[in-house]
Amino acid sequence: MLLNSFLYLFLFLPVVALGYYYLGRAKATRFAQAFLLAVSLAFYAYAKPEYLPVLVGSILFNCWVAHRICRQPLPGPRKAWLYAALTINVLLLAAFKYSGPLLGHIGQAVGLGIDLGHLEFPLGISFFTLTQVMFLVDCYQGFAQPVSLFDHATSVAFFPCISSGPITRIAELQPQLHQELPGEDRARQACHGLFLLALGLTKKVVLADTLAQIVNVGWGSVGHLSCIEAWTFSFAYTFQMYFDFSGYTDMAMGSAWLLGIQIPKNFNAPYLATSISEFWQRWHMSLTHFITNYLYTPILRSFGKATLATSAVATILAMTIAGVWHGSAWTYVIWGVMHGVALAVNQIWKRRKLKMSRGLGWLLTFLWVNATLVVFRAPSVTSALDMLKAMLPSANLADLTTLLTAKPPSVTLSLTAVAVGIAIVFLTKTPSWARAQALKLNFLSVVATSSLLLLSFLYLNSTSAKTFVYFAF
Amino acid sequence: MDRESVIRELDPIFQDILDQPELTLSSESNASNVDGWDSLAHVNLVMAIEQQMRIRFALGELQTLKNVGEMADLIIKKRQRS
Repeated sequence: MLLNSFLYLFLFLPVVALGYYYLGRAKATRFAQAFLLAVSLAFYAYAKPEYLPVLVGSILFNCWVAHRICRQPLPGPRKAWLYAALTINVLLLAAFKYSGPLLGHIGQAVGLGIDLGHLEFPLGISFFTLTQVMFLVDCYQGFAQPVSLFDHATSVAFFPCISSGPITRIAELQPQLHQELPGEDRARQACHGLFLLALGLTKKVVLADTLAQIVNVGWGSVGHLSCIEAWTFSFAYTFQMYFDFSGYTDMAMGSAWLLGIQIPKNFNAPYLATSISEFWQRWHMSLTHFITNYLYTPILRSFGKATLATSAVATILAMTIAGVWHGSAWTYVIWGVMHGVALAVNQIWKRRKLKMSRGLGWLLTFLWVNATLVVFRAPSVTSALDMLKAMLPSANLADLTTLLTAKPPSVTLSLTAVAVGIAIVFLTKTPSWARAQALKLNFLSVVATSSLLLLSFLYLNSTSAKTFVYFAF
Repeated sequence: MDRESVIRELDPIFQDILDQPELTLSSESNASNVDGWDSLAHVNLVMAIEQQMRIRFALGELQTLKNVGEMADLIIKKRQRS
């Protein structure tokens, strides 16, 4: 089920929020949790019920292994259980995400010349696998304790996070299932959540979807673009990606707040970052946390000593794995390597105490992120190279033929909204969630929330709901 | 064993890894107010502390530490457990 659909906004979410609230208020917290688990599984099964057994199987397996790990008194068997479980999780992910393309490559290499197909993978598999991998490692290291199957399942399947994160620790979510917030706090949090949901929905349907129409035209004519067009389309995707993904996260977080539950923050003004390392502290923060703690640190520790060279290798390796996690295409691998190399250069720069003005740092960071997103968006490496080549000054500098065909419907309204959205990205450091947290509940906030929702509904009504970019991962 | 004494034990480790012989830590010392404490130094600090104090940090708990005071509290907890 899409978060930006009338079904979710007018039926699913209100029924779930009210049901969860009233069951909780009737001191029936276990019933409230059972209700939450049931609706989360229904939410997951809505699009493709045939993939529900994958989620349920993953939950049953990982919960069982977590208990096995913690029951083992000897370090050897504990480690064996952990490694076996990690291998099975990675194999499950690989079977769905990489087996089709991999078999296709092998088929080509051995000259079979047949298309071995591509398995469509279950929604959110990358996210619920990471959540549980993190949990198993935490259990192994004594940082977390296994929980009941009921709590484990409710935390992993929690509907606001199941499709695209934020990657949430079970240990963070699980205690919140048993807490009862005082009525006044609960009501205030729900109002803040509704505002955040409205902000996220606006980002998605008004800004990201408008930009998507422009971007799609650009990528449809990638071999025939002028330099100015190529830059415009690349910037359009850079903003589409931000509005889409941060819009989704705002909606997920807003939905969770409506239930009185906190989930991790994922974005904090990333396009204001003045270095690539600062960018990753502000972009997809829950993934950055995973990469830093569960990939980069163990890789670096395995080298025995952290030097500039070993750190560079660990950084590039960790970011390449993050790229592969996104998908099997070479474009994702290159995207990961590009970020890894930039982070390694940034680290060397800082260690050598070399100076750069904040303005130049911001410009280089933004342009590099823009270039990496060209590769990320490209349907193939050849297309990515074509787009990057078109961005270099050439004889075809300022032809606007393709750009002028990329006009969205109701041009003035859409482009004004996009211009205001982009101005807000650059002019304000306050992320949506902080804005929502600081919201004073008065007549003005009611007008603001209603206006954003109304505007979004108008857009939603005029077009079919488009899926979020990160649903593809 | 209290927080202050653990922080004094941490002083020489930080001085060595960050190459600052005069460095004196406080509870509030953190990556943003101690020169040279970047992600690379952080991993070296963690490895050195683990080696010298014979404890092991979990990967997940490293990120939760906000300053040296919290690090000292965690070290006390780990020593009591072992």
